[in-house]
Amino acid sequence: MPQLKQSIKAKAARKRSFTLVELLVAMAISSLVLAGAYGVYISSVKIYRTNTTSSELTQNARVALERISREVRQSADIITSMPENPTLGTPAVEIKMQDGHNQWPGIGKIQYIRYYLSGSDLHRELTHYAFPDSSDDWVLYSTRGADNVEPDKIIDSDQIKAEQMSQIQFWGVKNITINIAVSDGAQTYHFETKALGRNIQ
Amino acid sequence: MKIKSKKSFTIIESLIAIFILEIGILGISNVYANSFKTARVARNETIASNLASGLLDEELANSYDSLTIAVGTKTRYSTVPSDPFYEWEKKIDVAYVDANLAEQVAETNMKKIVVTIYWKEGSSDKSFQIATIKAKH
Repeated sequence: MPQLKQSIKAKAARKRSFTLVELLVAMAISSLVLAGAYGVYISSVKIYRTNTTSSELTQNARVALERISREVRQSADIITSMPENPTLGTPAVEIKMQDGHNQWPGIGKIQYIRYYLSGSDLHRELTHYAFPDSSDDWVLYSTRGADNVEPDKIIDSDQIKAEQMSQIQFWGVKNITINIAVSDGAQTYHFETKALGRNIQ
Repeated sequence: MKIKSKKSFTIIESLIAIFILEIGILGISNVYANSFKTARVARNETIASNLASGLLDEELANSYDSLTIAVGTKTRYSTVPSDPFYEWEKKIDVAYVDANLAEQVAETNMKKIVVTIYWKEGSSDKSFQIATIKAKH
């Protein structure tokens, strides 16, 4: 009889539920593990955001430098006056140049490209000059008509080419240094390149 | 014996399981830390390639004859301490090359210009190199 009693007791003991203490310990440990996992998740989101911003900034800077330097290389004339280097004067904050594609009068349509910042957007403005009585004849900006009349300036397009720019600077003669900074407020990165205006006379 | 084998995990077993889990989580966070470094590598490569192509253009502005054959010396990209590229260094080498792009000592009517940009990334030294050829004409 005592043996039978014991086996029933053992069976009952095996089938019993968790005690309150066991449950509390298990919950405490799992919440620690979850807190750890949450911490990792939060920091991964932060790093993901930082990395996304950083690559967006780099991308904007790269696009800006590539576009401007390519057009400086092709340009026939740099209109904006700028110092030879930053120690000799304040660098220009915009650049206007003659498009190198149709650069000689009488051959094609002479156009001017201007890069400038409006807020943090980099704009590329295309203009041409013509006299009212012959609007299809696009002339050099320096052309003067009868009585020294200046030609009209006509804006052909103005588009945003890059964003998040906090600074653009230009200096140099023929070999133009393009210095830019991109920023989202928290991160700021500087980029610089030089472009030799191969067609500048 | 049968009862003993059916008992729940011991505290040691649970601790080991949690420990292994934490190692796994640490491994994942390491991946993110690496992605941060990779973004920096990409940015610095972009900066370096732009600086290098700018210097190459500057060299190309020279006539063939005014390009002096020399192994360059490493100097600061900018000597102004406040310049963002003060910590960056540059080196420009000019050498004669033959039609197979092998370097030569004697005049070949072709000069190779090599621009190297150096920078520090954490504790490691990085560099970026581009080259072009200028022919005599």
